[in-house]
Amino acid sequence: MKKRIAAFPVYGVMAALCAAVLFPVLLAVILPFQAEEELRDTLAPLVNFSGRYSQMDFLPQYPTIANFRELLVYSPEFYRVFWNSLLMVGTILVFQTLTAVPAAWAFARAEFRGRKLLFNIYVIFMLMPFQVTMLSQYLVIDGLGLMNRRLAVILPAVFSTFPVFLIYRGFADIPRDVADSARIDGANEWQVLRYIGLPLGKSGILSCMVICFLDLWNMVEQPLTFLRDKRLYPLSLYLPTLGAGNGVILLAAAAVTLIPAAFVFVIGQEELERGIIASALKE
Amino acid sequence: MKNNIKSRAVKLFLIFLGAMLAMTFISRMVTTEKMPVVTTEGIKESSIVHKVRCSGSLTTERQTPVFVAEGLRVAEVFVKQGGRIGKGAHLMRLDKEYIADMTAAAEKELAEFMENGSPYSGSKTPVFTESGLRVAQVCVRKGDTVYGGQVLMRLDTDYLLSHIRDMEDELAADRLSRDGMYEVEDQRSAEALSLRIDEKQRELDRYNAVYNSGGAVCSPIAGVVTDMAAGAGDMTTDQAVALVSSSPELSSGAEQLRRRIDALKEAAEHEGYINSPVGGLMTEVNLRAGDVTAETAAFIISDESSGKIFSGMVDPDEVKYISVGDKVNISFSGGKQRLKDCEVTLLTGKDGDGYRIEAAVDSDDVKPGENGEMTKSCISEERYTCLPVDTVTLSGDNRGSIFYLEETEGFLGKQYVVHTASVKIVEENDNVYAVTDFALPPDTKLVRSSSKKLAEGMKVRKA
Repeated sequence: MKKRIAAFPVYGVMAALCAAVLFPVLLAVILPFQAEEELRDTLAPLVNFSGRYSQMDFLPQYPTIANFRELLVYSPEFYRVFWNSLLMVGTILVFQTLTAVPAAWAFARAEFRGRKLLFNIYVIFMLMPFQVTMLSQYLVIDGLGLMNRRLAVILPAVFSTFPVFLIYRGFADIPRDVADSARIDGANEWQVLRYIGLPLGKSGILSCMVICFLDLWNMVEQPLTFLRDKRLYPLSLYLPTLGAGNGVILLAAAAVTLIPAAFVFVIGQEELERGIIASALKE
Repeated sequence: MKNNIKSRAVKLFLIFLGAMLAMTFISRMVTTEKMPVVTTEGIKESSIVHKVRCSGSLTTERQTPVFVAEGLRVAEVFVKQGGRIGKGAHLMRLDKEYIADMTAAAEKELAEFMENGSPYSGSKTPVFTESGLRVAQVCVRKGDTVYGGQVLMRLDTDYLLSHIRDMEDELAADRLSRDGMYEVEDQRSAEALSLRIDEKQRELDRYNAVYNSGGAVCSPIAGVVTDMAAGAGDMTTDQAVALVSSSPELSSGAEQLRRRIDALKEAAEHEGYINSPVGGLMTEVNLRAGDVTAETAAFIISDESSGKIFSGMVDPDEVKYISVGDKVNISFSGGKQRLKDCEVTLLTGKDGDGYRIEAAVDSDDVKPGENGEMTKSCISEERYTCLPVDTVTLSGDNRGSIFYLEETEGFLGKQYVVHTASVKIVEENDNVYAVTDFALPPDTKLVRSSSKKLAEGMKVRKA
């Protein structure tokens, strides 16, 4: 009982932190239901840079779905960027996994000279922000004639080092004896990966896919750098181009943009937790 | 439990993606339906061809109008437009009974006017007589012509004689009084009375003169009696009893009535027939049987031997494109007869709604009275930015507004956005407006028509 009473302040602090974290999400859900007039008043201080703070009611005065109707029925460009996002993110995730899994397996299981050095280089590359490699990537993409094409965004992301690092941890902790016994039974390296590595490292792969989806769904710099035509833009670039003047559509679009990310999180939550816990235990 | 949530989440996510796919099509269809469809035209940099058009008719240089007294009913018309007629031939017949009625009415009106109105204008001589006398007889009427010394009226001599007797008695009494005053040596009163006696004596002398003339009041000059102020039995006053004009002029109203009566009488003399004063071609017949004649010419007879001219009215805005000496084309009979290089011989000042233009026509194929259309094309010396007329909405004061397309790269690919601009129109013809202060590039596409009302910034589709 005493322990429970002693834990109350901790719960209180945690609840306050949660509220602070959830507040923007709450706003993103509430604001699109405001009527156009009310929304204009809410956003006016931000648009006019008048130095005043935006004031709003947490319950819209006249709740309406007109903003969503405007977005979903009368804004076909929203669907264009939505499918652009889904196409790019889906392609990246598939090919990223196809390249990262063998690479991670090789780093975890293969014995060759320079393995540790190569892995360290991978880690260094992972730590580099996009802004550092942007210019070199730009030159390569331009040299390949891929500028202003979706491949310009997809190709560099497919060979990202971050998934290799995440999946590597899952493979590294598979007991060597399990793999060796499979080899004794006559399994080749591909079969060992297929029947031993993938099932045991599944949580690491799936958690990597969830994290990468959330990261790619919100990427801004890469498409902004490599894409010129608006028809190729993903959702993450569509929202800033709307501007505060189109606040009605902007907020509704932001709310709808949250939906795929929320679904992916719910679907992959278990694997994500498992992968993080496994990594923590192994560390 | 967790697997259940996960499988539900997967299902919902798939439903969400399905809904997004369906809405992708729906949204595009709705937007396509809402989007105006426009047709466009380009801009040309060229000289502007201005075409002056004017309708008119062919006439001759010498024309004779035939006027008929106004307000008469036409019984029969014997001529047609385009027909030839000889001098003295019947043009039409008027209703005789109607003429008689109208003549009687006009005469009555004139008589009433002469009696009650002011039928004469010009200088008038007043005729005076002594006041306070009774008029016994009026010998003339207003409007009568009199000679100098003619008796205008006679005064009552009995009344005049009694008046003279009274005055003589008064004078005798006054003289006795004056003598008395002298006797009492009241010189001053006696002299004052003497003056009065002299005055009365002079007055008595005038009355005696009137009496001696038999009470006649005569006209001092020859002329027309324009007014009679006193009637029989009236007492004369200081005012003139009559006015006589040596050069009488009828006032405009009376003159009009008199002319009308003359015209009516003349028509009646010819049994109502109106004859042609000259021979020639009937170019205008403005009356039909049953019509009532008007102030304007009833017929116009043209003399073909004098030369043919095309006559019409040019719009004031277009008169700057044409001048005397220019060569014009004229078409008759709906374009079947085309005459080229006819010279403009006359371009008069403003006349009503336009300028009268005349062009000489030298052709035997067209007859006076035919309607035609004159055209003249002139090319501007300057080169202008020319916009098709369909693309400009006039806003007055020689300005207009246009909608033009801007091609942009949007989220859905190539898209067109309409913008509006104002232009100043300096020249125009049937097809294009020549404009200035046009700052758009030469390959700009102008909106010619739209399926919906356009506004600045609207996205549109090209037909």
